[in-house]
Amino acid sequence: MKKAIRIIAAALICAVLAPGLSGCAEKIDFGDEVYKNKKYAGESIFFNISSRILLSGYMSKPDNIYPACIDPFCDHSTESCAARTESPITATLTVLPEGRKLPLVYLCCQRWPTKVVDGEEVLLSAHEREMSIVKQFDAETGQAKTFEPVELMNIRSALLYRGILYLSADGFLGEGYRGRVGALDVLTGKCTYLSEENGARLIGAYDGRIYVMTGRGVVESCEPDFSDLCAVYDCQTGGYVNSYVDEGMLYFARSKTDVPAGNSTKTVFEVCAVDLKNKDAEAVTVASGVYVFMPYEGDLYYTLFEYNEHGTVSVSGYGEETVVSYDNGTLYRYDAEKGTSETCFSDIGASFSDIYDIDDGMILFSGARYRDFDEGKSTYLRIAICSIETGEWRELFADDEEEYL
Amino acid sequence: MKLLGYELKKLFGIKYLWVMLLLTTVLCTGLYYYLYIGDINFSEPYYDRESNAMTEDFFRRCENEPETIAQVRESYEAYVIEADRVSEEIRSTMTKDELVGFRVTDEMLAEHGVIYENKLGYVRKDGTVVPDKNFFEAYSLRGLTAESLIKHVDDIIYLTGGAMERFEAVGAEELPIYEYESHYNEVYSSLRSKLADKMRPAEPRGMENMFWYREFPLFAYAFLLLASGVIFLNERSVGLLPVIRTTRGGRARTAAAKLGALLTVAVLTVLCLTAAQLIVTYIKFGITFGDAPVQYMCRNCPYLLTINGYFICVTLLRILAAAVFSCVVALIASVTVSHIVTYISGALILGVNIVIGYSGNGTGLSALNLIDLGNDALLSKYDESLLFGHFVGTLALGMALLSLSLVLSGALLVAVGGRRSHIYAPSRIRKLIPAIRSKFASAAEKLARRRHSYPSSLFVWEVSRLMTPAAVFAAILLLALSVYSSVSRYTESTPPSLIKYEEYLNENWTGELTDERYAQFLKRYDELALLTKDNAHEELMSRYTRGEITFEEYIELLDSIESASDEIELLESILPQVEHLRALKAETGVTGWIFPDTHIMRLLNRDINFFLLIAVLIIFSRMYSPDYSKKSFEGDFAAILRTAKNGRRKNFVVRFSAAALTSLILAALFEAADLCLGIANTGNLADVLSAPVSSIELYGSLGSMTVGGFLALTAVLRTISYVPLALLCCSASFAVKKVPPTLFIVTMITLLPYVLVYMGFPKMMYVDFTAVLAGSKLLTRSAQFDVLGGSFTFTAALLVGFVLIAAAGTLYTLRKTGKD
Repeated sequence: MKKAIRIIAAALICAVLAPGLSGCAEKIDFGDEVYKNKKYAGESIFFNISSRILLSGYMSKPDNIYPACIDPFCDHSTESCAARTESPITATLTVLPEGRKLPLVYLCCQRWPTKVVDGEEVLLSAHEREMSIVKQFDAETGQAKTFEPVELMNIRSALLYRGILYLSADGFLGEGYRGRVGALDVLTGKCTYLSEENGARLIGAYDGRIYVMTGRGVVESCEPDFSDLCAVYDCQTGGYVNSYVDEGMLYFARSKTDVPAGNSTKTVFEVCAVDLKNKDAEAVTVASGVYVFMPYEGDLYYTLFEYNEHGTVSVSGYGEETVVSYDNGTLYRYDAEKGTSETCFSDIGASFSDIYDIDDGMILFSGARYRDFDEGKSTYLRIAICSIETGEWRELFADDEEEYL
Repeated sequence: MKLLGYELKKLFGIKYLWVMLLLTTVLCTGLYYYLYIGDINFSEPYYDRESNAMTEDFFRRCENEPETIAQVRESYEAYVIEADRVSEEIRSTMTKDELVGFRVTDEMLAEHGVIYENKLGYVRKDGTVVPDKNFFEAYSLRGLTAESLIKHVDDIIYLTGGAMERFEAVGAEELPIYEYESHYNEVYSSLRSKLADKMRPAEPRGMENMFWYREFPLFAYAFLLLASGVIFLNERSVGLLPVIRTTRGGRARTAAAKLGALLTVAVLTVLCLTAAQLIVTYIKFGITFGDAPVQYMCRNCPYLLTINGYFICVTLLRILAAAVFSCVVALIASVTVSHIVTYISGALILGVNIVIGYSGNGTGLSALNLIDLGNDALLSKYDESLLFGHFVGTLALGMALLSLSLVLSGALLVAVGGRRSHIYAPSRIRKLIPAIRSKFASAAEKLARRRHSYPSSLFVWEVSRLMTPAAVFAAILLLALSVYSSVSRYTESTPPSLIKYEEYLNENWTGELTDERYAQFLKRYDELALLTKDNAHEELMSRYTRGEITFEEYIELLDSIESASDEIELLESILPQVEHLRALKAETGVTGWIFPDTHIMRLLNRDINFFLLIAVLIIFSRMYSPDYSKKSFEGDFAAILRTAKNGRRKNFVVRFSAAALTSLILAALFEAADLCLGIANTGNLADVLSAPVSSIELYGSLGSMTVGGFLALTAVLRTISYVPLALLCCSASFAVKKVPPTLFIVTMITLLPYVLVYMGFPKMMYVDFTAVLAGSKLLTRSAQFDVLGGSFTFTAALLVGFVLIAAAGTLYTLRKTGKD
């Protein structure tokens, strides 16, 4: 009886205290899929504006924009907002592992350069200022987890493979900013770094190996734990170039040329493809005069440079602007299997200055509207979405909308 | 009822209990004043009774004499337009740099002929004129507030509705988060439909300050912890018990009566603390508009309550939480019948609840702790908790949990009290020994034998009386906590920047800063400064573009500039230390050392060991209380000793010697553990043991004392200083004869000044004896307080003061022992 009383008393105390202690970390199974350059996940589109991530409702109704944070009491203006970072976001990655309805979003940003010590704001050391912060936002729970700062400056892209978040950054103090790749274990928060004396940038993952491009233009691959680093292909560019490894295909810009575009110049590329599945494969030229390019499911989607002026428009608060386009609104696809290029759509009335993501038959891009523009409104497209099949496109988020969210 | 009356009468008769309640009230209200009232700028409207009354008067005038007010407002608005125009003019003449932090003042406007004379005529009692703009702004806000609050609720409904729509679109209706959003939507939609009619222009003031005070329950619980001990542990001294014990109904009824008394104390405590808070708030702010919707104060509150209603609900919640805490503590007390176990368990329960409050990223579940349940956290916004895959309102869950805990603990308390052999048995702990012995046979057996065999040596007897199994258990538990705390402190991760700083310092500069090394330091600094001059990058780039260097050379030189920038930054961080060492040499002739102090400071600058303090307090505060809480027929010494003067004297000497020795051993154990862990985790300690401790700026006044010497001195201080503390506990125990007041008195003497210093009363450092217990703090404060011109006078004064208090207590005990 005495024991029973003690046990009941202990249980009572536990009952009073225990509920608050629940909510342990859940281990997520990411499978073997390579998640990269993603802003789409399932039906949802996440994109970053400054230091916040916004959610475009869903694919079937993409022009409804909401703050990704679902706390109705949050004003999304401070770091306590789950979908906000302490400084502008430099890279995001959206992943939807098997069995989840809503994705996880990884947000990368630089550390805020100051901190408060004893009520006073003091500047961080140069070393600390160069570090980056990675935050994991879970859209299913609306909660976020911030990892310990990583020794990477300006994270440019991220890729997730088997629970490891690979981060590609500009480098770090004392290393000459030659490019640096880190691997952050999203379960433990431990970060390791690739040791490459010429610096490295992440370009993809395929068949259980991670691919990087060194500061001398050599593509190297290694195991997911950065062991067994070996050269795969020498692009002979002498330095970094835009490059991707996707489904065993390496795409890289072999040469770049500055061409006149109105009062300034723009850079165009000769893009090559190498089939990494074939050890003896040589680089094949996909196209010359390429303005932007992005691989998807092994194929390459690209536009060709073509400068055009389409008249002028009067923009409220800015005066007259010349409407220009740097391509003719045409998208091409290089079929890696056949080795040929074809036109996806042509002259859609909008040009592409950057392609953020391609998925599920849609392209997320920024660019300019050069047809059917309205007087008083900027022709700049901050975030727009376009169907590969039909070329139909619409603007998701305009510059002047930010203040309303 | 008669028994309850008797119990209450008995409680009201314990004067020190009410003195403790009074002191708790003063402390609680003092902290409230300090945190929420003391810093407020009373020159603004709404912030004190006087300006609040004026604002009220202005609103009345707006209704009674609208034309007059409209005229004044017109002229004020004309002034604002003119002032804006002139301000713009002034700003347009300034550069961007000059504009940073610049503000156009009334004086500047007056120079440009823009003057406004306050026409409303509100003057404070001290003669200062309250600007008209304050009243106009208040009036504008008054109308806007009601509108904005409704809009805020609308926003919540819109946001949750939007989120639900998104989840529906991706087929995620089965996710808990969808249920979460729909609950919010439902709750606030319901509120919105009722709230619209209730909102009206209002500006409630005063009361909100009360609800911000989230530390309130801590004071209530601290007092109730002591009170529960008084009610349930001091019973053995009551002569009526043998009579009550004879009937089973008597026992159960007595236990129920005690429970009733305890709940009365809980209610009284909360009401007393709340009343004091209310009085202070009223004196400072005045309290108005109690019938306005509470959303004026807590805009996220999902319940349709007036401010008065909200206040009543919060008070009821506080009472309920206090009652639960008291019952749980009383239950522990009645099961264990041990002051030590009760107080430690009570403190642990509070600690765990505080930790829960900070865990869970502010989710509803983390609000289910006695601290949040004891204030308005549950009412101020709608919180939900995920329970078995479903969301439940946290308030409902919290209330259910509190009620269930109250009923269960109350019933258990009565059941435990109703049993024949319980509560009033001599010592329940002793009964536990056979069970423990079966597992830990030899040690427990020896202990048990000693407890029952009355050793011939009085000294050994007194030591064993102090170190009961419960006390030993408590000491081991606290030692383990102390070790855990030390491990956390010494192995706390160092930021990469500091690791780099330490490595650089150890590789290049650690050692004595002789004149030669100082010259080397300056030379290196100049070299690096030359390499990293402002246009270094541009120069290098132009050399490369002119073809003077190759790309490889360019990269190599670029690297050297970057690493030089890195190194000069490190050198600059050492510069203040170097400057301090040069000043030290010039002023005292001591040649200091450069060394990284990040880790060493963790060891040198140690605060008081709270775990040791708690151990000493709870063990030695019991020194005399058993003499007065046990009857002679229950087998204690007191009755026998009381009969002979010499016996009492001898017993006094033995008791105080036992206390001194035990406390010394206890302190040595705690200190040794902490010191060993510190030394093991301080990498470069061996290299700098012979360095003068004054090399660190904080210890600049300590002359040529070495780091090793400083460590040894503080370790000795941290050990022996607990002897006077233990003696003080014994004296207090002798003076008041009961554990709770003894604990209270010694805690007040030691920890109250510590808390006051922490709260910003530096003068309390003169009586903060925890500095003696902390060791290094005593020495550093000497540098801060140049008492009578000597650098160690403060140290000596505080040390002597502390010893004198303990000695006075000892002498008092000695004198009274002879007469008792």
